[in-house]
Amino acid sequence: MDYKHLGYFVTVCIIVFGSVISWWLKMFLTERKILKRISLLEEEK
Amino acid sequence: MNSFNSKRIPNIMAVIIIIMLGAGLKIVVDYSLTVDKEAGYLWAQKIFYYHVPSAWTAFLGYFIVMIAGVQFLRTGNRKWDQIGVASAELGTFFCLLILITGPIWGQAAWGQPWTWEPRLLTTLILFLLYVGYFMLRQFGGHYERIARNSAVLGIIAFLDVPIVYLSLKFWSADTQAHPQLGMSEQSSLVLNVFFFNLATFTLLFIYMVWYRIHILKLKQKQLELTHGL
Amino acid sequence: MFTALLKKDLLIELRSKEIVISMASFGVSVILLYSFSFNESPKTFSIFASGLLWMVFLFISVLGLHRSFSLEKEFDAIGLVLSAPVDRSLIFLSKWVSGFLFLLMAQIIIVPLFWLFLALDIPSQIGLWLLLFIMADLGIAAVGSLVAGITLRARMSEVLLPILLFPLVSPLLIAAVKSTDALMVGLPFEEWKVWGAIIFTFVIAFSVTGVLIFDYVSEE
Repeated sequence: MDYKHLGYFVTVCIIVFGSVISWWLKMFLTERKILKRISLLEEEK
Repeated sequence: MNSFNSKRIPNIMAVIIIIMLGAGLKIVVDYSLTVDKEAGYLWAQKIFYYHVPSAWTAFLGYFIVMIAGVQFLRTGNRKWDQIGVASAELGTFFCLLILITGPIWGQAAWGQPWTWEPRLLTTLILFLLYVGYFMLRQFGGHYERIARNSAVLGIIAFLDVPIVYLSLKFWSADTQAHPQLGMSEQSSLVLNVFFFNLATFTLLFIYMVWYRIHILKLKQKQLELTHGL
Repeated sequence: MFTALLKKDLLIELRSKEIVISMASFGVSVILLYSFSFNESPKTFSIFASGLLWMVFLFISVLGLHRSFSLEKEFDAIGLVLSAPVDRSLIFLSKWVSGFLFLLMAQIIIVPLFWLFLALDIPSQIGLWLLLFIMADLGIAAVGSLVAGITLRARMSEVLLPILLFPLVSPLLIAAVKSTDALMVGLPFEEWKVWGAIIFTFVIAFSVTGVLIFDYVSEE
């Protein structure tokens, strides 16, 4: 088992999947924040 | 407006994408052959299945930026600008992935993290161009002008890409020989796994752009409400 | 109308000569710095000469373009011109041609000095040299005018212009350097015609794009 090269592959997988997941999380949190603000603004109207 | 995650089609897409990503990973790990038999680095070669689809997605994204740019200039409809920004952001996201996974792959498979290779260099130039694109959007002034100038820049940038690629191709022929991958000579197993991952990434890209546009629209609504008060 | 615009640009410059002079002097000082910082014999230096030369031209182009477009901004002349019923692509054309001419004038000053300072050989094939410089300058001026049009009214335009221009112009840079190298050793055109083709394509692509698209750039 070529551990060094397995390590490279695993690193890439972590980077790819990790960045997609982080992006999604960021979108999710941003969306929640904006939706909260919108509902506050709409209440004030 | 409601949350993106409460809409039906995006949720279906997300589920499909997650399944495809998982299945793709399993297939890549278990079943795919190595691409370059001579290199003999079994595991590192499999990076190919994530590196190249990233490249395809990035270029797809930038292509969409150009189309959105043309459409925005023609119609003046704001939605085209939103499509353009979202695609630019995600194109750059995948572009960064190329630039990160590329050297890792290079180091693993050929011992050289950076080769003066036309595709990698074109990607770097494209990345730099889009750093400029986002700077322009940041410093450009009021929204109308930003949108219009970004559209123009998006068009120019993509038009430049073939010329950049060609010139780099001839340029690097003079410099060191670099490892290349002939796609057409690969076995059908390799190609099938590759196309599966390509489809996955494309779906993923569409989902991400859609989500991003949704948030842009929400943001716009928030701004409208704030100014309306 | 185009000739009127062009004449205006050129006459303004002719009177003060500030654009060409600043371009040329900046270029010469960079070359002086080159000869100080590269402590090499002329023979070794001639390997890099073409690359360094074209980089100088790129730097001074940024300078010249910024000045040329800023002049318009200063008196809000652009606003005045735009309110006139003129086809805005003519503005691009006049900026393109004047930019090209300014660069060429600066090069006429810089290149002989470059050759002198660095004790390089005098090349033959003057006709091809001229053609190369003219075509490459047209290319730089075309992209440059486009990018300047986009960035000039933004904040940080001095920085934004090169940031956007340099990646865009890189194939032209490569082709110009390769062609200059070939000319310096006297290679026949057959051997390096691919670079000539790239320069030519570049000029056509960006001049046509500029004409078509500049309307949208300067709308207010």
